Amino acid sequence: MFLREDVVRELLESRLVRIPPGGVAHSVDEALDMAESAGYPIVLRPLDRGSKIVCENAKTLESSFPSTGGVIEKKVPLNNGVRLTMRVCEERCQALITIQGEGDEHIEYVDPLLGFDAFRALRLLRTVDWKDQPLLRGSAIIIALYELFETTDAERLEVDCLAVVEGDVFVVHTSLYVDDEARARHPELKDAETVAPIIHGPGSVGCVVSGKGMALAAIDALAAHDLAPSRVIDIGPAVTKERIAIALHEVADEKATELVLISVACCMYPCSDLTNEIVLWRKEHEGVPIGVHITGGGQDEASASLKEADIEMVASLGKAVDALVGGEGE
Amino acid sequence: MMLPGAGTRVIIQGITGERGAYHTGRMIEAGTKVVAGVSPGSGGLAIHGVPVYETVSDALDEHEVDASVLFTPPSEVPPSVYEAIEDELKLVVVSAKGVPLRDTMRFVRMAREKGTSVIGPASAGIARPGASVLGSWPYEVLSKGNIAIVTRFCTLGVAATAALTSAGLGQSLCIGLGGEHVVGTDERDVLPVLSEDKRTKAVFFVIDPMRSVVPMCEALAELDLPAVAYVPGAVGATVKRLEMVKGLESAGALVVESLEGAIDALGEFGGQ
Repeated sequence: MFLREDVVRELLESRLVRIPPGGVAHSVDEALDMAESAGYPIVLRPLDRGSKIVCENAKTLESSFPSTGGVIEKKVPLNNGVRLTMRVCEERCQALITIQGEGDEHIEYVDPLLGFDAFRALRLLRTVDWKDQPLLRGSAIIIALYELFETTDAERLEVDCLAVVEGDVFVVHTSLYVDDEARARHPELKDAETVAPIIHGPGSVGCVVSGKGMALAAIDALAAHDLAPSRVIDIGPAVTKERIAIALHEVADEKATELVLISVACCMYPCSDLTNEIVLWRKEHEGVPIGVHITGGGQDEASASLKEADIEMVASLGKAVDALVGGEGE
Repeated sequence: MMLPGAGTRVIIQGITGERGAYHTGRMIEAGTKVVAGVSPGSGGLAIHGVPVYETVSDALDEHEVDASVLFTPPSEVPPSVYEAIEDELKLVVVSAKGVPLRDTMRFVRMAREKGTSVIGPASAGIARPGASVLGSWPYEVLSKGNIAIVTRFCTLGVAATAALTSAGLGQSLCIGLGGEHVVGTDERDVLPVLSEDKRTKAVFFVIDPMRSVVPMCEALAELDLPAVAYVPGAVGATVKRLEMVKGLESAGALVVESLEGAIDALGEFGGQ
């Protein structure tokens, strides 16, 4: 998930990395004030990660400002700028830094046991067209960015441009992608909201699944029966009764939901822990057709408990969708 | 890489925690030879009849050990893995999800240098149906047979195993490589070993379409066994997924788009 733009700006500023003047605006008035103080032209980046828009004046900004809010940044000249990417290379278990100038691209692997240093930051800059630019300042910025990449435990850091403006190096638009658990581990990210994907679909089936793979498989299985999800809630691999109870109510509350599919595999805790919650939910939503695919530890006990409540638990996702389609016709 | 069997002697690091104690009991029920547990500060206790030691080294003084399974919380995983590496264990299974990425990168690099295979983090573990389970792979979904399942997914891997079992297709091995961005062991390490496994007649991959399959395609070229790959996410497929499917097919795998398709393709290999 991408960290929110204002959080990334704060993290950069705390490391004395210069970024174009501006900030995050949530309303048109806020955006106009911000642009006025930064000075036109400005670059508007929608918070929902839509395409950036260059606004030459207040009129353009007013008409282009998205309802989701946006980042306002003074437009800086990008001549001789370079693009910088840092990512974790899973195949080599090393960090991979890529720097790209006009036509040139250079990569540097960083061993996690050895770390990154100024020598290699300088080498990266020398390989691209950075000849007459402030070399030491550039390398200091790359080291600061690498430190940010490391300390936030990010999977990926992308800088649109390292640009030199009036002798100083500006970092123009940085994206920071962290894993789902990073916020829990890092105090500085704790209050940082993220741009997380929410799966809303055009269909009528509310899905409760355990894990990303189960979500993808459920959407495929529904499509095979010409169905689509209204909403998919992933309760993660550590399936608990609390999580399934909340998720079931949330999918049922979705207006478009007419059917409910539960597709859960239990690795961490027994399936039998979940049955009470499903039975309780069923009592409150008797008219809603439901397909239940639960597998894992304690699956026989879970099946027996659900059977007592007239809920059939099946061994495969395909059969659960079949049950759903059968139920729909009743 | 060492594959577990009926005689594999296992220690559990983090045995006194809620998850450690629960899964130790289940692993024993599955037939796993759990010889000792490790939990600093709890030496001298016994969990499910398994003696608990302060350190891995203490456990090794009293028992012959082949592998370690970790049920420690994410923050405790790195020191526990380093301890297992230092004590020269050849196989370490890490079940915790949410281990800091940089820590994982460091202990994986260290493990590779020292010759220890780390499975995970975020792994359901390795199961040898009818013999042993190292990790949290539910034994109820397993049945003995000739298909090896290899996956980065935890729950979808378990669901796929259950689907094969319910279709009468048994497994020789189930390997959860782990769902984190960086994992200790990938398909390049596993496939050569599967080629030499006498029980395995076919390999079934349950593939995460968000990850690179480049290492897997490299390894597939060397695999002597039939390979079937299920790639979920056919609805709204991206260019990346289409390229992935193309790559897998070029490397010799039969790509299917549903578990039912996989069952059809693997039908002839399921018996014992």
